[in-house]
Amino acid sequence: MMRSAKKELINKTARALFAAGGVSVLIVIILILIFLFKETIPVFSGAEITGKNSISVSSKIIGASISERGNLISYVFQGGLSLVDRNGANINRFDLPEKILSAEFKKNTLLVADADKIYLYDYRYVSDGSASLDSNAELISLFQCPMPKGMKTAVVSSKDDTSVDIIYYGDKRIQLIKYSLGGNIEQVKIDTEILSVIKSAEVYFDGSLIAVSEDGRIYVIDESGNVSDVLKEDGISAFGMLTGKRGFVVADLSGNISVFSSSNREGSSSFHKIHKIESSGKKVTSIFLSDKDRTFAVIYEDGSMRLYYSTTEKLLLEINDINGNMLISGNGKNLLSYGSKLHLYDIKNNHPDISFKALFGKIWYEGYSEPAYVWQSTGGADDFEPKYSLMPLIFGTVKGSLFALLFAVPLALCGALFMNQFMHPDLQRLIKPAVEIMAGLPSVIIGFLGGLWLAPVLEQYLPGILLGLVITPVAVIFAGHLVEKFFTRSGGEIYGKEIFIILPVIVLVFGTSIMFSNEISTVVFNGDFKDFFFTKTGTPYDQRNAIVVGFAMGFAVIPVIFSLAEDALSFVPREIIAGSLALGLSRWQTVSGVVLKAAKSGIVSAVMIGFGRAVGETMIVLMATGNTPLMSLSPFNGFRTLSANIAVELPETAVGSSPYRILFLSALILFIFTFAINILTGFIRGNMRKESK
Amino acid sequence: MKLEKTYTYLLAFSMLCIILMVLGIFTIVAMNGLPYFWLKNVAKVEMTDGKVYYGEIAGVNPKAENGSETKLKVGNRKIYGQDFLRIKDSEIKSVSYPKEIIMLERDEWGNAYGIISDIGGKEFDNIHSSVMEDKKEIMSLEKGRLLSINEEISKLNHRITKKSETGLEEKLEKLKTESAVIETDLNSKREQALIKTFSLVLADGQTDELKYYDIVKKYQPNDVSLAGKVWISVKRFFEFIFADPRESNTEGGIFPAIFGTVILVILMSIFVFPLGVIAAVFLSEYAKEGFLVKLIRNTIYNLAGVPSIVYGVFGLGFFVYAMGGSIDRIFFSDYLPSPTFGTGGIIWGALTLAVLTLPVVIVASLEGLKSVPHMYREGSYSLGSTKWEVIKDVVIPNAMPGMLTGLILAISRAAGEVAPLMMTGVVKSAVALPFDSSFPFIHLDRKFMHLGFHIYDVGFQSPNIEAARGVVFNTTLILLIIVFALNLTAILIRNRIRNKLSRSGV
Repeated sequence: MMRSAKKELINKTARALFAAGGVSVLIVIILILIFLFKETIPVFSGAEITGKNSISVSSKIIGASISERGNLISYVFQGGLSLVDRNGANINRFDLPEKILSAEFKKNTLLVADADKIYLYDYRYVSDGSASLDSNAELISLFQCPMPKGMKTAVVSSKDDTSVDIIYYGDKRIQLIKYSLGGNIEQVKIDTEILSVIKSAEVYFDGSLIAVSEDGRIYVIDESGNVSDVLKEDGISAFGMLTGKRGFVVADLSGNISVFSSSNREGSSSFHKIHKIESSGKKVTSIFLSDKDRTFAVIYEDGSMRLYYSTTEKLLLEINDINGNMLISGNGKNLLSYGSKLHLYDIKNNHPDISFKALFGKIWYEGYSEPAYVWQSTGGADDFEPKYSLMPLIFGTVKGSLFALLFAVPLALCGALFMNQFMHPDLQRLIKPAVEIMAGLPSVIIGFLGGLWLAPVLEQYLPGILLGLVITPVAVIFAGHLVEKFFTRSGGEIYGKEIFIILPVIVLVFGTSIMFSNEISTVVFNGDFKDFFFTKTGTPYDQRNAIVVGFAMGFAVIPVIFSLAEDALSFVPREIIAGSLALGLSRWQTVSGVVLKAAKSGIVSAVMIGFGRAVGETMIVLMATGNTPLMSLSPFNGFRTLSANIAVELPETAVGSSPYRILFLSALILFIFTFAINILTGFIRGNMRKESK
Repeated sequence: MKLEKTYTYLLAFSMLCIILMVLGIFTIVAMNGLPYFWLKNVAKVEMTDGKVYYGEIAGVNPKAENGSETKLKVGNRKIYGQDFLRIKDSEIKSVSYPKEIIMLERDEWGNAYGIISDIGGKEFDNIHSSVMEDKKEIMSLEKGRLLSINEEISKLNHRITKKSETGLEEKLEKLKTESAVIETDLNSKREQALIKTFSLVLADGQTDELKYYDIVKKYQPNDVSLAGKVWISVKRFFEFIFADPRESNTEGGIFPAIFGTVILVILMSIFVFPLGVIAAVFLSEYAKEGFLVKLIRNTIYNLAGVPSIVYGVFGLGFFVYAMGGSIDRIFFSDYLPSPTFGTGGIIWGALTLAVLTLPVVIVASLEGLKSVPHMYREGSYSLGSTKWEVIKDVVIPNAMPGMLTGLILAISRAAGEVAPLMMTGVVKSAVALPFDSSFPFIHLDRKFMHLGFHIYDVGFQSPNIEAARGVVFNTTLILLIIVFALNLTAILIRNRIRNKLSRSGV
């Protein structure tokens, strides 16, 4: 019979279509992998310069500022202030006093000083209302006053709607004075003499003053004027307070950079050197800090600049030819260097807060008394130091999985062995679908029952349940022994139907031990188990803890391990079993000596796949633990897993932000981990099939 | 020898534990959920100090600190401040069940218990049912025509202000007048419905003025026979399935969650079924055993083991942000920055689940294809069919049960999967269903409710979890029944295929 051309065409098209469908599966997995990588990789990149504008200025620049979004630049020269856009075009000009020695911008203020007076202005960038971008600036004179006697430098420390705090320091004296916006002194907060020449000073978050001297001393002056803590460095060449005011950066004479922060323990605070960046051999002249995050710019005597991030100690960027000073814009996307010229750099610095060490190592965070693994991606304030250690989450994942396996492996393997080798075929036909139904139960239901039903029950009857778990198997063996002794001899054949004998034993023994839970509690634990546990270990009992997860997630893992193990057992050739029995070995000897040995690799791979399932399980841990990222070994404490962390945080995380990418990294870790397990077990099972043939 | 034998008892014990746990899950859920539908008698409790309470006896705690205590659900939360009351058993003078006590289910403030004296039972029912008719009309107007008019108005406004299109003002005015007319109509209807009130005499003698409008159902539990109660329980079970939630999901029904799940699953099936079948047919009929096929087989095997949360992350990043974001930039750029498709929606949830369930469909379809005896194919070829014709007319029809098994298992998985949906658009309470009477009827960008997520949300995010127990356990029960039925069907079909396979000796 001849086939028409049309038929042939349809046939070929169908072929192509089916091939495309088959390959699409491959494409899907490659897409997932590529996509996860693509979203993760930028996290490990440093900062880079994406653009540079140079603006030439005719007069010498005394001070400068850059707007939040980096589109406006202000600079102070003798007698005036110019506002220009990023190309240098003039937008506005304000008059300032002649003969000024210094001009310092700080959060909506401008402080100008000449030889004997200071002038304070309110200076802020404004938008014309229609656009969100700033388009102009306003300068309002607040007050002027003479520089206090013996003082050389004045710095604004903070300003609100009614008052402004100014720090003055001279050679050996330092003052912190609160003014009203009209210029009246409201309060002299601190006025203290110090032994060495002050180089720089800033206010710490608790209200004390941190002052550093040329000879390397760091003074902490509390609000009553006491010099409460003196740290010693090897000479200090530059100093700056990090945003949030809970840590400060100090550069010593040989160019080492250190970050200090205090921790509070039992009411008294002490300072620690929390980060150290080794010297690059050049002397540091000044440090400029970002208001947005913990990025800071270090200027060296040879005119080069390095951008670092405090928490991660990461070198983000290096620029060689800057002239003088370096400002960081409020959004962190622009750098402005000023001296004889203005240079505006556009930089990409999206993830300064992430490094390999930040994710997997111990980091000494501000306010901590020692380095720690902490996950805390959001905090109350804007200047909160985010903590992105994945270790507590990995710990939680492993802890949860191990508790689940602890419960699931013995039950699933013993169950599978029983069903495959001992159970009556009629019963098998009934039990197999039950296990399959168990595998199909949604994890949200298991998690829900774990968290809302099991957790309170466990809390109430814990001693009884624990006792039941121990004595029921013993009672079962005992009962089995009795049955074997007295009943089989009288002709009753019970092989394969043992479960009907065990059922009443379980109900009786387990039920009794739960009934007497309170009594056990009173006798063994002097009343309440939770109190007993707390006084013994010092950690409180969480209602939703690792034991609850162990049961709940174990429940989800059992059918996985059961089916695969049963599969492996049924691959053991019947001839081997028959041979073993024919040689006179007992049923049990055959099972333990022959069957288990032959199915060993399959059983191992079943357990591994169960582990993989437990590692990725989300809803159960989300519902059955408290989701606190603790690193506690106690079985009665909760934890947070990688997967639950993604579920909790990802929906509320900004696209492209550091936590967003870290959550993608967590997903990638889970993906690769389960993938590796699958490949490995696939290999093992492949071998197993070959051998059985 | 003897001791060895007893080891088998330990194995049997493990097996039994597993079975008991499966049965236990069903029992626990049913026992905690079903009593919620039972109409409990309302007790009149007289205390020794002269106080009187009406309420359902919710439990007795014999080991309370000050002797035995009874937990009484007294309702009337608006007046008493809380639903439950604990009273000492020693202070109870008498407990009786007067027939005239009424239990009212309300839209807000929980149940009310009391006696209606100013109006007869029949008359009450008449007024109530007429008010309920009005309420239904008001609701359907609000959710139907008014909602779609307002949507249209905002679209027109947008076109006028952002795109400076002209000639739309007239249309806009017309819509605005229509909207105003409907609204005045609504308001007058609602006013008329709202002024109808009656007074409920509470246990302590004070009267509460209640609106018919707020009453969902009136019961006189002590006057209902046992058979009547059974009938009412059955009715309440179906009301639970078909009613909307009340009191921020802690009361009422779960219809939107069931509806959302169904639409989600249908959408997912549209994506996953053809693709899964095509891939399976390729692997079984076309592909020659080689590196590529081996790779694809391994990939399917591996995809099945990838945690569902990873699919969720992929769905959020790829479908929602990358694909949805692109669609927004191309077709809905006027509405930016507020996203249309660039945020979670039912289409993205369905696509994510389709990727997740793809291996399930493929594996089951492969098994189905394997069960088609080679003779069928050869016979067909010998009659001159092309390969496509053999596949279309012989292989696929015979493999259909296997493929359907895959689809059923995929649906069962999707009905219970929550984690990926949390990333791709599931919400605790959807304003509008993803499918309704306004054009284009299916709104693929809308957020949706889902049974599994409902369990998580009501059970773990509700401010008052005690009050939500009934809803959450019964939602779990419904999901459990659905999943059980689906899985059982799949298992039965598959066993038939396997039997066929072993009979045909392939």
